[in-house]
Amino acid sequence: MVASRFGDTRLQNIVETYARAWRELGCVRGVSIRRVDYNRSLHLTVGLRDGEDCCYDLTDHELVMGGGAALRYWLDTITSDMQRCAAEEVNQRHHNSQRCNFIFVDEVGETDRLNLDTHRFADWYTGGIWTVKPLNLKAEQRSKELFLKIAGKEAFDLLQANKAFPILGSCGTSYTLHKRATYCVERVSDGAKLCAVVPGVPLWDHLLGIKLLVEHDEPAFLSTAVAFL
Amino acid sequence: MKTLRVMDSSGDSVVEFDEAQATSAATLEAEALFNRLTTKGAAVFAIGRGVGAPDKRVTNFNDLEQDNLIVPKIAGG
Repeated sequence: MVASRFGDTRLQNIVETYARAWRELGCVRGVSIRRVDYNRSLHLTVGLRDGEDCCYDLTDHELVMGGGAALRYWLDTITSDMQRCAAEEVNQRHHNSQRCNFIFVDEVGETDRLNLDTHRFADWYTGGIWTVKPLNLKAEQRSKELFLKIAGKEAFDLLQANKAFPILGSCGTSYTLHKRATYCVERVSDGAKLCAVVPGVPLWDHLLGIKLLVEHDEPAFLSTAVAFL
Repeated sequence: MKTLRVMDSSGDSVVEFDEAQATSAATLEAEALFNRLTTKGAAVFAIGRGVGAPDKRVTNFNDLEQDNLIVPKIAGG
């Protein structure tokens, strides 16, 4: 499907044009693109000079619905990441950055959060073509500020950098908090992933609520959370 | 003056009330909100309690401190 929408040669040319620009930034050692998920997704790997690989996926559904704009946005987002990598002496990006994995509200539920440039997403993809409710940017900002105020800058910076923030349960169990809507808590002792959500609130409110609950009422959290071992 | 923040889709909504005026409309509204949400399973925390003072779980309206946060009932993921 992907191939039929964007023929092999045309797609290769487009990606190669971008890849040239990425290489010129000086931080990229190689770029590869392949189809995964039974040809339903494009999987692009950008190898960085510091040894890390950054992976990006674009699904067939996104491509069909968004057309050239979706492809352009996908590639522009990678460009933006590469520019950031080039600007940083030490690249601390995590693997499998999911910024380009558009998650549709109508497919996976309203509690999922989009970890991408929401301004551009709203401009390009929600202009009536798709029935995706754009994020409330004011609410997102407000929740960030509340998190910063209550949990502190250290916690915010760690989570913002996609690193784990250690939290101690009210019963003395050690956990780590992660910046994601689902399975945001991991138990240190056995690595179990625990999933509970504060429904209907922005991501940072959700993280703050879970953090507070684990720290002050661990049994209540455990009685609700779904565990994945 | 005390503050009750309720997490919601807008980030949070703030209700302010003066605990010294127990019968004022604002206080009654805050108490009704507190009772309604805690009955539904929301958790309330006293926050911003000063340097070195950790956040605290609050279960009684009269125990609310200067700044308080209501977290809606969590759901299993």
